[in-house]
Amino acid sequence: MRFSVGAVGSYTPNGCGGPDLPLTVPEGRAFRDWYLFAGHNLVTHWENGDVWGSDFRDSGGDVDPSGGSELPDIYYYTGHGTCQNPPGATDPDFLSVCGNFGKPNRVNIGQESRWGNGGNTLQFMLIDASCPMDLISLTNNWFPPFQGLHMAVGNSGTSNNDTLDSKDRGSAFAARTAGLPGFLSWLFPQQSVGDAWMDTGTIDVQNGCSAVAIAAGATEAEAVDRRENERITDNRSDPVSNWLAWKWVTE
Amino acid sequence: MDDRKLQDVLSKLERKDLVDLAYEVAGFTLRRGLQYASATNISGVRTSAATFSSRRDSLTIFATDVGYGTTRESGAWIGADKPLITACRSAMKAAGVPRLEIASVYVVSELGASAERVADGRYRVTKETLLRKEARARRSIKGIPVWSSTVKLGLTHTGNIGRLELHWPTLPAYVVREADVLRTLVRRGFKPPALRDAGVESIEVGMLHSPAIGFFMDAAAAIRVIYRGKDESIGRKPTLYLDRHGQPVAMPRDIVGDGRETKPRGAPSKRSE
Repeated sequence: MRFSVGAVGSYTPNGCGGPDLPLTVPEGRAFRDWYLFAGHNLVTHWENGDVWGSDFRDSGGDVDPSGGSELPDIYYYTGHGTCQNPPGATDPDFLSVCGNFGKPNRVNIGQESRWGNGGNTLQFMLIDASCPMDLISLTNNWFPPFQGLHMAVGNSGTSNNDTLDSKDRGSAFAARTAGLPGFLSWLFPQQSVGDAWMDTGTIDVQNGCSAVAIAAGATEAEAVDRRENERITDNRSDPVSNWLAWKWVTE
Repeated sequence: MDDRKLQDVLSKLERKDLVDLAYEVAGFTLRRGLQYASATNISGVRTSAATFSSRRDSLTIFATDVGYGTTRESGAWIGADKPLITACRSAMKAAGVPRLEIASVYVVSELGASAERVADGRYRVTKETLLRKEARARRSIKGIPVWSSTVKLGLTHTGNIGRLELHWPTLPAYVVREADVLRTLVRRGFKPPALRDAGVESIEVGMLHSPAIGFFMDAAAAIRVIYRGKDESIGRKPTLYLDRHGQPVAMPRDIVGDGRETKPRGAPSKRSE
């Protein structure tokens, strides 16, 4: 599989609202290292100001050959998100980067992101930022981006029940999903994307913060099956997103 | 010795112990079609029905019934909490977890829902359902948390172990001693470094070690400082792990890649701006 990584830890030196996140860059590198070890192909790996808001927008930037999120099969983002306190059903979900180009830095996922459309290949959008997948507003924000996308993961929370900056969350998720080579493929069990995130999306989070995994399908049964069982390495075809099925665990 | 021969030799040395441990810890009876393997720092056995593996450099165990799961034939437990807690404590005891290090055993619920797109911008959402419950455990030594240690245990719908992940490495005495020192420093008014655009939310002493899946077993004591952004809408809280001098501790490793650095990215094409 082809994968990309975007890790943003440096916000204040580039004039963006902080604070900085010292563990996102090591986390992104660890994700990359596990996927390379498993034999996947790195498409792009950008850090800090080289991750642009436009990379996640459907208005052309997401197919930018230098780093758009639609180029690979798998995209892993780690950095800031935006939390409401508490979120409402019509509140948007965001990614917040601090890019040298491709502004604005905040991406309204439900309004601006569309993944898997136009023959593009993204299957798994994996987001380690706080509050990009608030349960209360999930259908409003996440039905539109699923345009062939198989699955997405993220967290639901508030500024009082937030994710902490962490290297282990992304690294452990990568180790469980990548599909390690040889005997390691079963000695260290490979998990489905949904199960792996239920285990690792609650690493280094405050009480009340939820790990959330979403899958799409033409039918409810298909969406549920993907949510429970689809692995990165399954090579399943793109779903028609009539249905979304999601699950969550709260620490 | 070629790898196949080596695997045969190692199998004779380790297979029986692994099969016995799988039974004692997880209740798995592994006989027919047994396959053994060793790689890097882990060894294991499996049949078509179950797998059991154990790290050789750490008290770390993975046990999986292949039928376990919400949509699979063995199902997943959604009943009372007590059988989960009991099974978790039994597995920990059988694995050799020191009782005094068990800070808590608790149950988390995995919930699910779905929605159908019925018209542009309108969705029909199904009622949320309980998909499964799992037991988890937290660790502390002398009252100091070990943040990285974990146990996760799920039962099948009939109450057998469906999956177990136990990661409880023995920590060097010097790490525990250092954690004790750090606790004293915090009680005496340790001052964490200032972080731009953020204030300190909490300060806690604990211990870290390498994750369950990985090729290293590092451990460290640390003062964990959680910061809260001045703009509270910006989520994901900066967190520093500091030593006695207020310097960042080396984070425990799991994998080490080739150290490649990214080169600066050029300006975008017009299309993407």
